Amino acid sequence: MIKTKVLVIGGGATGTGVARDLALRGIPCVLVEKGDIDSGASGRNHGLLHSGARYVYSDPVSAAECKEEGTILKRIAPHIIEDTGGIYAAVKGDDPTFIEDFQEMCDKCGISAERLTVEEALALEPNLSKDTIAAYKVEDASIDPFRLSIENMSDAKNNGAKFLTGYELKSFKIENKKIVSATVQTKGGKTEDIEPEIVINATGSWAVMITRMAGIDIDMVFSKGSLIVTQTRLSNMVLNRLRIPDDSDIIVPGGTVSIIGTTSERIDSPDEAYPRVEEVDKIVDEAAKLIPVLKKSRLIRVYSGVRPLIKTENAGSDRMIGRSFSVVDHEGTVGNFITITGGKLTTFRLMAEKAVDLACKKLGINKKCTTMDMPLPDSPTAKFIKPGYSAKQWLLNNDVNDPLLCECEMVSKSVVDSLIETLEDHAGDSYLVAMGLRSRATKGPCQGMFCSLRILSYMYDKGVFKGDEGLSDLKLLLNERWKGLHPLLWDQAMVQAELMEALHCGFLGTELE
Amino acid sequence: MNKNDSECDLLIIGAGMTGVSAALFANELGLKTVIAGKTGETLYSSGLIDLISSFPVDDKKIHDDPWALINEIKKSDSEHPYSFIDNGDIEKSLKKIMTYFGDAGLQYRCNGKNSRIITPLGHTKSTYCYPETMENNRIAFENKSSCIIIGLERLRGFSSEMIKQVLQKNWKGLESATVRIPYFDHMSSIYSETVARFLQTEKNRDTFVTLLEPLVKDYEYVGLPAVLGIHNSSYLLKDLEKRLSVKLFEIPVIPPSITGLRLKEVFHKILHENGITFLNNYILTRNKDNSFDANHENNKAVIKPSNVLLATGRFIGKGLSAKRKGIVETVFDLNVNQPGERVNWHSGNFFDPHEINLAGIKTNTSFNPIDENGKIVDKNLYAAGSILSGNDWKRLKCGSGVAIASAYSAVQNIK
Ligand SMILES: Cc1cc2nc3c(=O)[nH]c(=O)nc-3n(C[C@H](O)[C@H](O)[C@H](O)COP(=O)(O)OP(=O)(O)OC[C@H]3O[C@@H](n4cnc5c(N)ncnc54)[C@H](O)[C@@H]3O)c2cc1C
Repeated sequence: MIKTKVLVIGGGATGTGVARDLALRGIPCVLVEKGDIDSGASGRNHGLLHSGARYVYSDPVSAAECKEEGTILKRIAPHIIEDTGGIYAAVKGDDPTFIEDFQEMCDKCGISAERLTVEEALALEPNLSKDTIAAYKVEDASIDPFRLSIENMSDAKNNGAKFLTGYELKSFKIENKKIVSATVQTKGGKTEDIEPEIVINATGSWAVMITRMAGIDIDMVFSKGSLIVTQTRLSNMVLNRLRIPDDSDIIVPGGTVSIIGTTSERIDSPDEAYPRVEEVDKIVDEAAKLIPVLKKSRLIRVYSGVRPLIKTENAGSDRMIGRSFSVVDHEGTVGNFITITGGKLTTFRLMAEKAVDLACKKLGINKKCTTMDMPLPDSPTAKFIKPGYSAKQWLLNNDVNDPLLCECEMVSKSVVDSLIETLEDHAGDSYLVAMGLRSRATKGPCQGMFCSLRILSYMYDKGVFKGDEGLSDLKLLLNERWKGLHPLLWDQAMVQAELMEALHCGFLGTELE
Repeated sequence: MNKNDSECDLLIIGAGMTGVSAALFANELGLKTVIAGKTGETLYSSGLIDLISSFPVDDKKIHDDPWALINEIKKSDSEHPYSFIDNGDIEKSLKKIMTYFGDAGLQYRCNGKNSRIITPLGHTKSTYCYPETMENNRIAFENKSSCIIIGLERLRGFSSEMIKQVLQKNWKGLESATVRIPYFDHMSSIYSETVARFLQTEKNRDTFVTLLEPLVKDYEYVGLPAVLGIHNSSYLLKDLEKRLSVKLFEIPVIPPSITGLRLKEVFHKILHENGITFLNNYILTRNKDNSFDANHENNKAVIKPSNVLLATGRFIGKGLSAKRKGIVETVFDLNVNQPGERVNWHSGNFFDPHEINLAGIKTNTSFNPIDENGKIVDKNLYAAGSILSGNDWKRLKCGSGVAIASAYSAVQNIK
């Protein structure tokens, strides 16, 4: 049994942000996450640090929040942000009224938008369509969501927070309208009871499952969005389609790749979010109108995330449902229970602040939030996620005793050694998958086909795996990679996929029972 | 025949297992044969010659009697190429090719049924013919003999410890060790080819023996990654066995591997020894008059064949190409039998069967490609090997078997 002040449920940007905020205020907390850090929407989004311009038309409140939070994050966490700037561009056929009204809409929300001539836009971004008819420059940036959550976690831990990854919340024990204890469980069936004074539910799309465990229903719908990763970076800046927000409007560069999307599809459960072939085609065809080279670009991977949308009346489409967040105080039904959901990655800090403010009020603790000023430390754990970091280190060190295990992304043995050390944080499904989350390993063009085997055999040599444990781990990794591969298999990617199947099934027979 | 000589009885496009087998069979029939193209998937090969060890595709089990599976194919409505080929011909064709390989210095073993060979994952693979250097691999596993697997430092993707861990549950006498060969200390990683070249000299083998001796002396069998030479693996194996007084065997490794290279070298040797014209790495394009331009760097040839055999393989071999809207055949733009739109190509689980693996060229029982109406495209055009539709070789483990047997059958129809 673990006693703590605050139990935080969910290890995405919001949950890890809440844990850091609590820890910095000196309030003890335990965070439980059913998978690995960022296994929900925080690991499956666009990585766009919104300037707010995206929401000036549909949701001015969110727009203003994004503007303010974006400015704060650029100040406190510059090491995980690429301050690229962004362009909104319209192509032939796009609505001229929207183009003309855009400036005024931005002004109203306090968001800077500078009109560019078409020539200026094309000079900044030569890959923009020759059919571009209008453009604005905005303050968009790109942010690394994995580093964000891992840095949140590291700093929270350094300040006393405790993290239990691989633990799923299973039930609450409620007495006198208060949660007296919570039971969490690992995949392997190990359970743990936690007795908190306050519970903060930061489970994003799963929030309603958690409130139901406390006998409370909230009206939530799930909207799946899919995103494509290209092998090369297609633009310097974030590119947005200048029109009423729609599918496939945004191209976010990050390191050596670009991420393109998104789509918007209602789904019944946040656990069923996988990309489909039709979505890939739709994204490619539509986004290519803004950036035609996309049609000739090699696609590496596609993935889907789920947006939790709190239902309101009069919303025409899912895109029109407010994206601002909700802090729900369950006072009256379950007094020591708070739900924080919705919002965006960009606004995670503000969401955490509001949730912790409420928790403090309930606890009668008078401590102010400091996260708007306290720099997010650059922790060693997250550094390998940075594109090119391990490659550069390897070349600099030039050590003959440090072979590359992942050749596409140049991840060497010594990096795998350091990762294995940090993996004590992880009690999720697969070491190899967890390693991919904390580095670039298995993320290059081979998508794990060769490097999975090199890393796996090295880990056996190190004694990390016993018996046939490593084989189930390998299967989990391959299937995880496959989910993001099979909808985009044509041209060279198809050749690569056939090779992957030839090696892992044809030769090694991993599919056999 | 000289390379500029443009007329021939048979042009084979593709120089993988199918193309090379077809060239040898055609040569036996006295056909003037030209083979052109690339070695395709051969370089990725584990060196194991599979006939078939699983059927139907969702069975996910391995079976030791390939002939029972082939008979099942023939009874079912499967369009697998084996259903067109007489079992006697399948057996004969494989025997012939194994004899060619053996005569060229790459000896194979075959027990008339499938044999289990230990893989680098510590699984076993069920295969029909295997290199002689893997004979003790089969025996040691079958008898669970006293055995040590030895890995090499810097050879990535091969862990003797992993093989031991995975197999140990049912094999008590299995141990593992890793040796460091100081010669490679200046390299951050080595490939099996690096080691194979190292082992060519007597002096280096002495070093190797000195390193292994203390580790292996208590064991009856010793397993090594496949690194024992390129052209003389059986000889090297015997040489090391004698010096170490143990029974030695190879375990296939992941690509880039020596087992694929051995096959490639043997292909070249046999084609050469049999006087078959081989336009290595030439890319072929078809002209309007049914002649072919063959190009490689600055070399150019024009070929006027009476018959053509398409042995260009699938996506890896580039015989098929997947476009966003469908699969095409790359040389003749033949009709490709395929599962419709891309949504139907793959299943969401990697380990489930994928329909795209059944896509390919449909033929009549004489291996002439047919169009969507079932009509022969050209009576002098044949197709064989993995490009044929209806054979999910990766799941059924029938890659080489289909390559060799369909090549044999197709060639017998050429007059
Ligand atoms: C396609 C897409 C693109 C997006 N793009 C952007 C963007 O570019 N910029 C931006 O600012 N925002 C973007 N967003 C929004 C952003 O990703 C989310 O708002 C944010 O990540 C939500 O974080 P969270 O921590 O609240 O939820 P999540 O990240 O979903 O975290 C919830 C966590 O709770 C865990 N959990 C669930 N149930 C349990 C349980 N019973 N026990 C323990 N743990 C549990 C889950 O495993 C999960 O890790 C995008 C969203 C989507 C879907």
